[in-house]
Amino acid sequence: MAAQPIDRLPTPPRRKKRLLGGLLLGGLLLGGLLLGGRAAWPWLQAAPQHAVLLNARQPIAEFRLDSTLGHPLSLSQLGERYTLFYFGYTTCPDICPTTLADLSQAQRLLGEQAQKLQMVFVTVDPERDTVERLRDYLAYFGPEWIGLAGPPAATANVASQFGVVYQKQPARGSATEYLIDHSSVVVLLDPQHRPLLLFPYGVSGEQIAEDLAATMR
Amino acid sequence: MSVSSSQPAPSHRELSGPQAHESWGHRRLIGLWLALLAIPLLAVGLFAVLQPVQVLPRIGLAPGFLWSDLNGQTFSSELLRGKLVVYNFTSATCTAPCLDGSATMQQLQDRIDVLDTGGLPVTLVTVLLDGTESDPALLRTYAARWKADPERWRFVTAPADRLKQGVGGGFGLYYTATAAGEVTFAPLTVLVDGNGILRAQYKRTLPDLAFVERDLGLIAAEVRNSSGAGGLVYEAAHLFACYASY
Repeated sequence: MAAQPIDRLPTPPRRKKRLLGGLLLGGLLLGGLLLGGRAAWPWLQAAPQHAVLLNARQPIAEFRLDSTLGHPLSLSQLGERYTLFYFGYTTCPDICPTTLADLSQAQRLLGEQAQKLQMVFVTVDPERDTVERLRDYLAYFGPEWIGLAGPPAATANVASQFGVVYQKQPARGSATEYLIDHSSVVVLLDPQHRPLLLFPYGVSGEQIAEDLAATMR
Repeated sequence: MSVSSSQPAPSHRELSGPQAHESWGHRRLIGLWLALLAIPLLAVGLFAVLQPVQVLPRIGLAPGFLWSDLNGQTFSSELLRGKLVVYNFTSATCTAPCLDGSATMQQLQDRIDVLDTGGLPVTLVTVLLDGTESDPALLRTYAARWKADPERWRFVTAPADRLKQGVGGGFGLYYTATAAGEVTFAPLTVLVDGNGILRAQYKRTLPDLAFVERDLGLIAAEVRNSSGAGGLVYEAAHLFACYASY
């Protein structure tokens, strides 16, 4: 009985070629999966380390306030960019300037990525903070800021949408007639104007930049 | 010059020896990579269909408000950060057929101690739509009926204009109040998590206590388990979550 032919094993170079081909194909598939996953689930890539992840479904409702750009500005006119909102007032003694400085530092640290970001300061003291006063104040923190001011009712409405509250407190013996207690959170909206991240007070500029860089990739 | 042009190319079956081995090897390799591709796709599909990790949607930011309790003390949404909050909206003049959710709140108050919220504090807030313009004694009498523990269950109200802005614009409940003090509204109960995000709305009818308890448990489980890699699983669950509002 004739012996069955025994297949020769592939020569070593062939095996190497096949191995390389397999690795290449595997790499391509893995890369495709990662890229696809990244495109489909950006938030999986963007787990914030210092901010609270909001990732809310409902966008902030449209509003329109006077702006330091010299004309009224609506939310939709801010365009499809990430937007950082901070509510404060120009005679705020401590928290506001600290937070604004941290945010400006974060924007500088972002480098080119900062082009995807708009910073907005909304005054909770519309009685004293005129647009001109806002413009002068924000100039200390950089040209990237847009200041918004509106009538008290409209301001309260906008602030409430961001979960922000504020209240006048008499300030005896102070140069200012009153101070305003206000929420000191910073809210990042995504390009569709949905609340995405919330930075509590005390997060540093570096930490804010770190989370923004991861989120806006 | 053609070589062996008259001979037909060997069919697949005719391959033998090293060629057959190579072809089989190629097919095995392709099959392997297809399987590798199919596994994550299948896993994603199963995750979406079976929902092994359940989450409540992050509906939107709950409104910020500055209202007052029935003693006239300021009651701000800032006081509620870090707590699970159950809101209901009603009127001190709500009697049948008006649907009053405060009975459910009372039941919930009695069960807070046995609920597994992972140590997260739960606060109940009943918003009286009557407004501060109405008779304060009437509001206090209403609140006293429910034997509320002030540490757990707060009754709040505000001037009519501020209340309308917060309740209508913020919580999406539109109601009418006549000069005679009659308030018409549809029942609404809302869950807000510790980050101030609306997580559940039970609209138009009184909520089933079991649903509210289940949903509080879901939020607590998410807080407990969503650190590190668990966070990615929960974010994936949010991607596929498609719960209707109750």
